[in-house]
Amino acid sequence: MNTASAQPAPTSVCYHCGSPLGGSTAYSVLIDGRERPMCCPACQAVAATIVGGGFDNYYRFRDTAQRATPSAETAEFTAFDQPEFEQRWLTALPDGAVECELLIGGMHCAACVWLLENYLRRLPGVAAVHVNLSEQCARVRWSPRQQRLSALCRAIAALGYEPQPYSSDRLERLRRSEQRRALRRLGVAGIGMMQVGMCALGLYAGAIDGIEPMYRDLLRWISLLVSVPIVFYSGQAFFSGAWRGLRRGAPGMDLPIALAIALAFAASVWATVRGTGEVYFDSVSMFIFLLLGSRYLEMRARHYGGRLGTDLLSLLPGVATRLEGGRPHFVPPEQLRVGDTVLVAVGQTIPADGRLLDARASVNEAALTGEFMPVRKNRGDLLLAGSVNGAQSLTLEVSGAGEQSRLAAIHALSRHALAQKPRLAQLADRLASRFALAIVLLAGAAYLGWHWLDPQRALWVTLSVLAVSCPCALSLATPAAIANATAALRERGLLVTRADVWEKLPAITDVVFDKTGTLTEGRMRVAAIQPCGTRNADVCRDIAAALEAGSSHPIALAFAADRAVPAGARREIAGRGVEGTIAGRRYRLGSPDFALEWCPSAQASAPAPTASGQWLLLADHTGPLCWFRLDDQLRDDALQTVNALQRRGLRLHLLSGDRSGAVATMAAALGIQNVAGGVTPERKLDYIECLQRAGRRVLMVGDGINDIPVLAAADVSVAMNNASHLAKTSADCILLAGRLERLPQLFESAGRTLRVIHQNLLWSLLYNALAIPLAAAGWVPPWLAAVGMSLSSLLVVGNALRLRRHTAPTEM
Amino acid sequence: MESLFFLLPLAVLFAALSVWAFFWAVNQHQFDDLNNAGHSILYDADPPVADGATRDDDDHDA
Repeated sequence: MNTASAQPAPTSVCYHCGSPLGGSTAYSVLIDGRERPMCCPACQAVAATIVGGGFDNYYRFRDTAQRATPSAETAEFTAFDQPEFEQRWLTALPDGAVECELLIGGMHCAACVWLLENYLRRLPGVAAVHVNLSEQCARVRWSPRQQRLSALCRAIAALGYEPQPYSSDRLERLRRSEQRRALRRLGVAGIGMMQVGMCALGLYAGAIDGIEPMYRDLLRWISLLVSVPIVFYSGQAFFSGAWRGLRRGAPGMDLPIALAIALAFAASVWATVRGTGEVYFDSVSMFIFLLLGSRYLEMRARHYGGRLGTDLLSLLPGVATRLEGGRPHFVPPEQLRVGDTVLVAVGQTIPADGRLLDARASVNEAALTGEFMPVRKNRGDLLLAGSVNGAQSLTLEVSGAGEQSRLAAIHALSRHALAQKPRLAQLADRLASRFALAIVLLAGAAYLGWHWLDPQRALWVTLSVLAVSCPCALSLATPAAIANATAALRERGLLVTRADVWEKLPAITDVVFDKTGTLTEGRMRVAAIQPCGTRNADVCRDIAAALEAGSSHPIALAFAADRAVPAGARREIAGRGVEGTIAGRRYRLGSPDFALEWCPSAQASAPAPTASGQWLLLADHTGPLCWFRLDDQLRDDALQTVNALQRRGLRLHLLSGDRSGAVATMAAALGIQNVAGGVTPERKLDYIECLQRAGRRVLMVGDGINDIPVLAAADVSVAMNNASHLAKTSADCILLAGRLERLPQLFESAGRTLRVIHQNLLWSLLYNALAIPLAAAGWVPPWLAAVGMSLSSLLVVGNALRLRRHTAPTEM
Repeated sequence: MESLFFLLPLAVLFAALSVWAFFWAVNQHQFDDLNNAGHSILYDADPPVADGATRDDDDHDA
């Protein structure tokens, strides 16, 4: 697909969403003085809204074309005005305004943020709009007398986005408040540090050139005043951390840090009050600021990785339709009870687990299984919350709502998986604990030693030992590197959710690929058209498109075309095909025996084409008209990825549950030697374990629920962006943009990261081995210790920053 | 140098003001999305008002 940029868009694609037009010129919108083609009424309406509001600049600012505009369910927005919804989502503010948080689907660049914020701000009664692109949400504040939630949602939908009101769950709120608290502490430490530094400069100048005691004391008292909030408010994190560690019996790096801060501060206060000795307020402030800064950055990196897939509420619809006495009532999905009857319209998400009451239904369980083909359900079958209703509206009887649904169980599993600490961090924790204890003992020994030798210096020497030991380098070495490498990859569309990955990647020897949805796009496409006899291929294609128009079945989408005039009297026979009337004639499109039911005699005279693949036949009462071959398109970067991985010396495998010959064809086309088709999930697991027993380390790339045990068994697992919810949360990495070419880059990045981690650890070891004995011997005054410690941490962080540098994409 | 007795406390006051302003900004969620905030300066703050959008009615009705 073309990516829209500053160049004028080619006239064969929709100016708004980039979908191909195919010759239709029915829709267009005047944008910036030129008529721009649109592919459908929806895009036309959205573009008109944008232009009507005076936001033409949106088309100049945006990076890429918006994806196909989703249809807005405006009927359900009116339900939002009911009291039970308002109560759930709106927070009342003291000045009478209300605030609501909404998830916004479909945002993809900063221009969308600009558009949404400015458009919503201009609506009557709206006081503030704040859109967060990273988290895909918006926060709106308005006056309830002048504006309603339903109207705001309708406005957002009119712009082409999908709004969903949202109330964050407890974990999310905790995470956010933790982040803000850390940032506030950092701010106090930073601003305070600058003030204390200013005074310290004066004191240093005074130490060199001479300073009157009166002014020296003034500077010291001011430093003390400013340091108090830094130590007790910002530094609190270390004190409580040290105390927690002590209580647990496993002191962490917080202990020497807390001791150093406490000692330095106490000694400086003493010196200020007594008017003697040295003060170290600037060292303490800088120490606290640097440490808090690195922890904050690491926390942000950690939280971002954890956000994906932990939002249960974003998978459920905002509104459920409960039938009470046969009449529909809109209720929030969590208020559904077992035994309720729920109506789900076409295209809507099912709000709770339940048993189907109708005779038949077709649902898409992609959110749960990753399988993009719809599943047929019969009366009494279990329908899962989170799946999307396909063919016709259905009614179900609730069997598990809210926390009792299967989706909630998956969600709980994923949260548990994410909460586990990676092995590398656990190792670092143990090491840090032992190191901390050693430092404290050493400092204590130094104190005792000096107390015997020269009591006046004892305190300062101890301080030096504690300060110079630089817990920073050790505790920063690994997290800093990992945070930077993760951020660099995330910017390119690969999300690493487990820190284990960095450790395990260099040892990987084999890569196993799934076929459908991984190497292929997971979408059907018309690959070949073979008309029977002298028929015109385009005419046949149009007939097929007309028959399939209006359906969201993946096969129908393959035919999706410009001319969306659906056939009359359309009938879909599940699993076999579709039938309809066009210009007075009845046609059938589907499996060969279905299509030729009207004239069985023709079956002999029109043999199926010999090439393998999925063939559909278009026929009418006279006989066969045209053959269509459908296939699942290979991703455009699949070949270059395979080549790059093979160049790295990795052995590649292709395992697929698909029984057809397409598996072997694809493997041959890509150059993968180890192929297996028709493989059950159990056999996939065996295959991987076999490799592992032979001493090989496996990286698995997959997308569906059938791959979950396999993903878990592999040493490193990568999920595609279109994978099921569970696959994404149990995988170690997620390809956010579905670009396979990120895989070779992942390997490269892991190699560099490990090198940096080793460099950092080596440095901190050398530094400590050198500096601590020097400090214990009394040769390092505390100020030098503080300087050394700060410089050391800066070096470690700076080294880690090298990982942010983007290398050029691996040459193909 | 006596001015130091006035200037230094003044500096501390300014520091306190900065901290208060920073706290306000943090509580206003301005620091929630650090990745994309930088783009907003590239765009015009006030898009032109198009006809009939939200302009008040002029007073010259017939």
